[in-house]
Amino acid sequence: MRILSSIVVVVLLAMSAPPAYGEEQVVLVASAESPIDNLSSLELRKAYLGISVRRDGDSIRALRNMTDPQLNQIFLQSVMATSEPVYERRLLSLALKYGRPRPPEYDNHAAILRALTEHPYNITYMWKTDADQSPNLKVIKVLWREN
Amino acid sequence: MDMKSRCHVPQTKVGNRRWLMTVIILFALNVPSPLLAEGQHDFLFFLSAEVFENTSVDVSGIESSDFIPTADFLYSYSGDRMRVLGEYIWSSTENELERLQVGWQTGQDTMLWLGRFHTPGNYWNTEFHHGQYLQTSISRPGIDEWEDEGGPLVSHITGALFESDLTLRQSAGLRVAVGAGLGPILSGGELRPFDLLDTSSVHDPALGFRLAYLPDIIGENQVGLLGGVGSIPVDPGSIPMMPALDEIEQYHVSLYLDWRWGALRLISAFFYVENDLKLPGATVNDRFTSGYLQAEYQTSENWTLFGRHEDSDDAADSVYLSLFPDFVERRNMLGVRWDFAKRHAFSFEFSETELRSDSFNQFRLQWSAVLP
Repeated sequence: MRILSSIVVVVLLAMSAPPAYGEEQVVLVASAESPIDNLSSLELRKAYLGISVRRDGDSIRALRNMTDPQLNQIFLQSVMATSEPVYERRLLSLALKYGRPRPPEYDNHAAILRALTEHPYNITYMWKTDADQSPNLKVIKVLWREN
Repeated sequence: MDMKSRCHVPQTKVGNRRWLMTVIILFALNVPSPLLAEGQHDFLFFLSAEVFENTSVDVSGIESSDFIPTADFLYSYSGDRMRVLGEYIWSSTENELERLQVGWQTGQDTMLWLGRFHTPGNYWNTEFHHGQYLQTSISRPGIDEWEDEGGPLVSHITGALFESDLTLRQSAGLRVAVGAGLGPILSGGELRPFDLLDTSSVHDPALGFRLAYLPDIIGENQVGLLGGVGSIPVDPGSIPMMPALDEIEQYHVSLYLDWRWGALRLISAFFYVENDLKLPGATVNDRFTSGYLQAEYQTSENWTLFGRHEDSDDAADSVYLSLFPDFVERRNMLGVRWDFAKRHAFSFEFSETELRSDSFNQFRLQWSAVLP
């Protein structure tokens, strides 16, 4: 009986404890009213290079979330598959060659939320925990998941 | 830049250019039109300062040393389908509206531009334009030199430019560009492109094209074919050695490659150029080839070693190239670049250069940056 009680206690404790690892996610988001349901990896990379990606006749506008250096690193590695200097040079090169706009940068969470809700075709990436706390957003897809 | 002589711009043109720069800046800052209200504006300043010194004997017509500060101002507007691109360069040797283009996106990956642009028939110039910071080496290959720096090929066209990306399988694709319009005239020993601020001079049609294969359509690796054809009128009496020269018909084709393997980047192009020089009652035909291979190796995040070999064939016998005595027939160059702070770099290069009738050694030191 004592052994059974111990097992129950251990199981309950295990269920109530926070997960030790594996729950951090980075998600692609847009405003809740956005008609965007999905974007392929190629379309996402294009959008973040300032290359035109259209949905229903409207241009998708990618916003850079610079509120967290770790989030930025994950975006560069898992979405753009590059480093910050190489990405910066690529953006400069495309601006010089084709006049393609560099994605606007936001280092304030409230500002990026405002920018998202201003236009249904604006997109960005953020921690899933932040997206869950914003009822005006919808998650388009998971970009990265901690192993 | 080593070949350039001081450019004397007439005062009326200087006034026009200042006026135009003012209009562009005011336009960019105010943008009162509802047509542009929803778009995005971008400004970039490519700055550089360069010193060079010839370490061998003095060469006639070539500066033996100089200090050249340069500012290249780039403005772009991108709206829903409309795009505007302007590039204006100022330096101690030139003052010119390089590009002014208005574009319309006619399809997902297709643009149609009108205005003055860099011809797609030249890879180096359309890869780096005047953005010195993005170009690892300080100098550019002689065959890709700008018109006003003694370059023998068309660099600028004023007319229409069509650009399109065609995705093949997976992410590979073809990039097509065709530009047609007014090319340069030959005057005073250099090609002079159509000047948007001085539309009175006579220019003939020119066409440039490029067909590139990219294993990743949004990547940078590419290999391709490019070329150009055009008629170049000659300013009467401006060529003392051939006073009767009336017109030049020029054709060129080129194979090029720009590829990266990890830290190594190779840029190479091989040109075949043919010219028909029209004289009263006769046509002189000549042809030459020219090519280069530039290797860049990034040894660490901040340091890059680079070198370039340029060579040409039949250049010494070319009547056309005799009109461009500063054309680089052969050059070996080695250099190193140090990137520091945010978007700043110092570069150093040393070269051995052979012209048609002279040769010299030269070193260059340059700071380059881009703001903001």
